[in-house]
Amino acid sequence: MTRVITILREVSARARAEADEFRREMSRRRTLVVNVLSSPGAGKTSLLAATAVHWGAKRRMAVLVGDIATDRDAQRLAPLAPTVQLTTGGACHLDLELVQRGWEALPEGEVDFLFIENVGNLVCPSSHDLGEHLRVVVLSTTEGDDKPAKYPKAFRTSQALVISKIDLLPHVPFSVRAATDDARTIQPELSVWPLSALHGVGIEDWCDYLDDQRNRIFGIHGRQAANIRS
Amino acid sequence: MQVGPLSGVEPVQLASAWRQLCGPAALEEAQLEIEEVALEVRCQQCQGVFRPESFSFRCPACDSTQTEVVAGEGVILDNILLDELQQGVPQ
Repeated sequence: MTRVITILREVSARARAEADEFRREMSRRRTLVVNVLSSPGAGKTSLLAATAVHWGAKRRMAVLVGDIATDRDAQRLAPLAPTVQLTTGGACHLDLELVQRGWEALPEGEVDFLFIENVGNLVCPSSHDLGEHLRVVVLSTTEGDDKPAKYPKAFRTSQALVISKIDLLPHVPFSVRAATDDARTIQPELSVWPLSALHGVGIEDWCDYLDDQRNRIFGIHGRQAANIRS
Repeated sequence: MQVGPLSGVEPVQLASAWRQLCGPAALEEAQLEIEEVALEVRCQQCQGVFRPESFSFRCPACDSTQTEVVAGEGVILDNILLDELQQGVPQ
């Protein structure tokens, strides 16, 4: 006799529920969680370093930085912001449990922005909800403007696209317009931030965008929001 | 199982992983049936449902960018079929 057990559930339903719970907890703390995705070498660490330098003491930011091996990125960021290195030992993406352990390993205190620098990879990280409020994909000008179409899920699941290393535009065949158009075909609501972390170009606009998102998501209005912007 | 194009799961690799799992678990007769579902998107403006070509999520009917994925985003465990033995659970 054959027995049929109907399930009809997403395999990732439990992981999603756990990510939602972490997101709610971070919302209660008014800590905006930003998951940063890109290929290796696109400039995630440089972007976060430039963000920390721009804000200085005006914002409390912390970083969880994921890598397959070494703590080199954490060493770069530690002088600028509380940082915990998450080493995956070969795994190609971060998962929620690693992120939660990293969050608990950070020094206690209020944090306005928790950045998760994911393992450099445009494929696997896009399938894992880390309880973030905002997902940002970084695409550098040296990678080529055809990448959004080749890695659609990373762009489809992100709310913002940072086009990094624009100081190299005179030297590489990369069209910001073509990359933007391609990415917006996949995710029409994408905010696009071309910048050069090395020279600080576009960093202020990027940081203002982060402030605006934090105010919008946590419903911070009026004078309180203006104070945050100042 | 239903597997969609935006799930991040490749059906051929899922089937291979299944075989590797079943061997050591002495479940050689267990079968995995994978249904590849198409990506379907609903336009929130004109309510039309379309299947995006080349992951273009702009509505082909009204050009709206306000669209939502209604199918093909995940991996869904549909149902489990168990052949029950008359004598009960084998020792």
